[in-house]
Amino acid sequence: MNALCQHCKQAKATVHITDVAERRERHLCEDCAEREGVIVKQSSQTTNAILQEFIKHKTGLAAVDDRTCPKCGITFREFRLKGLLGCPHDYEAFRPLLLPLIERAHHGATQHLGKVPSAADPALRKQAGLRRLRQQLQEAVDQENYEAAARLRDQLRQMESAEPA
Amino acid sequence: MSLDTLAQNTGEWLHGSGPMSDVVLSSRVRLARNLAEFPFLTTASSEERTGVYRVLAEAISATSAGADAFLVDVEQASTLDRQFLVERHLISRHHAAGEGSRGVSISRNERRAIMINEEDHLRVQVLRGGLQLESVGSEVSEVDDALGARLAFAFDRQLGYLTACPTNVGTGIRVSVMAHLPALRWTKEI
Repeated sequence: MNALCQHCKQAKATVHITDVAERRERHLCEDCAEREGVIVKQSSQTTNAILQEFIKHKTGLAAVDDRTCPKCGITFREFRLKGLLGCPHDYEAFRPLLLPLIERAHHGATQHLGKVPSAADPALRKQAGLRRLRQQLQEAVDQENYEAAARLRDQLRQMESAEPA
Repeated sequence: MSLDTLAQNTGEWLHGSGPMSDVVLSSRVRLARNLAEFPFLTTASSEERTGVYRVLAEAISATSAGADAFLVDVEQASTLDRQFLVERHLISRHHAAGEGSRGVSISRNERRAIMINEEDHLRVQVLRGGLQLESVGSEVSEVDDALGARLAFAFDRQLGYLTACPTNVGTGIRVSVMAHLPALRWTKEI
């Protein structure tokens, strides 16, 4: 086939498109095909780089990767590559990105129910205690251990009505 | 007290004693903590690293965390000494092979080992023979309380204790039991 491009009618048509839905054929030159977004011209970029760009674009990773912690200066990309964070503030800086990861590593849990630092303020300690009791109460109910559940409910009420410590 | 003294004896967990010691060799609980005012070790400068070491070494020796224990400067220790500590399960391979200011506080009975500047600023380990996770857990918790009363650990209301690796975030605890199960191996059940 030696036809000219149907679009510019100057260059040789080297891109042949058969549109199955519209049942038509089109013959374009490389430049016109690229302008219409039908092809991406071969450039110096390797296939790998193109693929990475495509994945980043699709997943929104590009924007995410460049996020930087204002305190220690590491980017989310550096964290992804190393698997280790740079400073405690990263949990603040990357929180929405880290939460799904933490959720997976902790069987779906994203609320700490364990110990709180002994130096922490009393209100924080009380809050943590209440959360822990509620969790235990739920577990007791799930296991149909109503005796324990009743005891935990009373403990909870007592703690909730107590003056803030 | 030095490593030579430890080498004369074996650690408590190697005595083959403790509950269910016919099956369970040892129970171990480890805890990860970081100081709130320092960056994690991935980005810490060597001065900051030394600072963490100094603050933690001081806090350990001033509290019950360091009772009946001695501190080994792992950075200065010989390759042989590091290998010995790894074999005794007192430091990790990662800690032995690491770089920069780091150390470990070891109790005489080798039950308690507190690593400074491993993956996290502080790694507390308690190791005992047989199956006794509760007593091991409470001993770790006591060390945590003693140090936590003096130091500000990195902590978040939602996420708990903050660690360099997000998989450890929360309690910072990992519990493990070493069991000897030869028959299951022979019959290819595991």
